[in-house]
This record gives sequence, C-alpha cells and structure tokens, in this order.
Amino acid sequence: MGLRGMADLLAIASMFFLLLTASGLLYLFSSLGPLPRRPEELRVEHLYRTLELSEIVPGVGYLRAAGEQLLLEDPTVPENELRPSLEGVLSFLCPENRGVVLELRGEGGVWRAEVGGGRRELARRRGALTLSTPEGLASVEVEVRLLG
Amino acid sequence: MSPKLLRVLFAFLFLLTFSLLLASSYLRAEELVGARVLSDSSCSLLSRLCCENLSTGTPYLLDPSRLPSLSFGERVGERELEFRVWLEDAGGRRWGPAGPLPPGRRAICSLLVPVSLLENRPVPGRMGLEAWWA
Repeated sequence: MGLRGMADLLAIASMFFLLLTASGLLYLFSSLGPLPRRPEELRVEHLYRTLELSEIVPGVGYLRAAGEQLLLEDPTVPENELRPSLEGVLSFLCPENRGVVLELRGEGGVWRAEVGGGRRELARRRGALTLSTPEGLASVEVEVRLLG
Repeated sequence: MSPKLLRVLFAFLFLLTFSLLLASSYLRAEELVGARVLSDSSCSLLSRLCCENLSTGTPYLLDPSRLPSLSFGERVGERELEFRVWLEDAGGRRWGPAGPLPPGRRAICSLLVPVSLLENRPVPGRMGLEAWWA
C-alpha cells in the first residue's frame, strides 16, 4: 500500500473514531440532564411544609386558613385578610426569578393564589387537608407548583 | 509540497485537533459530574439539617437557637461536607451566617429554601446553605 492509500485509510479511521467518540459524549451529556431537578423538588416540598406548619394566627396554619375559605361560611381568617398576607409570604418564600401557584380544590370550588412569573412548571407537590365542618369531616386537595 | 504529503499532514492535524477537543470535553464532563454530586450531597445535607439537627422534633419546623450547636461538618456518603448556614424570617430577623467561611477557588453549592421557624409560634422563614467538600 502506497502513501496515498495510507492517508485515505487514516482519514477514514479518524472519522470513524470521531463518530464513535461524539456518540459517547452525546450520551454522557444527555445523562447529565436531570441536574437541576432535585433542588427544585426540594424547594417545592419545603414550600408546602412551610405553608402547612407556619401559622397566620395562633393555631391556624396558612394552608388550613386557605382550606377554610372553601369549606366554611365563617372562616377563622377572612379572605380579605388572608389573601394579602399569603401573597406576601409567598413572595418572600419564592426563589428569585421563579413563580409559585397555590391551588386548593374542594366541594366549594377552587381557591388560588399566585405570585411571580414563569410559564414552565419546574416542580409540583400535591397533598390533602382534612378539616372539620358543621356537616362532618371534609377534604381539600392542595397543589403547590413552582414555575420558572 | 507534494499532494501526498499534504494529505498526510491534514490527517495528522485533524487527529491532533480532535484529540485536544476530546480532552477538553472530558474535563468539562468531569466538572459537570462533580457539580451534580456536590448539588445532590448538599440537598441531602440540607434535608438532614431540617429534619434532624435544627428540627424542633417536627421536620421542617426549625429552632434558630440550635444554630450555634451545629458542628458545620457532616459526612455525606463517603465524603465530608463543610457548610455554613443562616436563617431569616419574613420580618427581617436574621440568625447567622454560622460556620466557617468557604475556601477560595473551591466549588460551592448554594441553596435557599423555605422553612418554618419556631419563634413565639411557627412563622415562615428562609434557610440559606453554602456547602463545599472538606
């Protein structure tokens, strides 16, 4: 085989090597995709638990106060006091350049609060709240979404 | 210069450039994997702090008075993470930062998450964490 044949062979071999290595690298980088997901899931879990545990008035958490809007005619915290307070808290807790949606669904309809911007959903936490009403125990579905 | 020699030269340059690109891609991939491991380990550390070390007994409800009692070094997996942490409530009251200053030229993971702080009653707050490999 002459020098020309060797050069052609080298070029073909290097292109084949390039193809294989590029495929390997693409596979490696695509497997790194879920990198930012865990911190966002952690944030939305913390946000849910913070709203559940923190009290707007002694003995009444923010989630419970919001749930009462759907189930009780005379909630512990009236809507005109709860909404600005809750939106202020959500703005404080919401990470920079993110948005938060809190949505409660029950027999009485839907109660929703939203702060910040963002269209893409980054993480979601669902839960349920059981409250005592004059008719007995009632359940409310709670959903917190982090947008970015 | 003869065309044959030019072909061999081009092939050699092609291989050399590709090898250099490959080496830099490998270093970048190593850096990304390192960042991912640090991020995951810092999330585990933060969960441990919120559910055990700083917890009042109820997970996610933190007692700010426990901040000075932390050791600021925790074993996560097979490696040791050092960290510093601070807490603040919606009224602007702040505890910390407590812990050593992060060393220069070292990868640091910063996390900021909502927590509930036990003052007179549970109030909304934020917890900041900076973690790096010891």
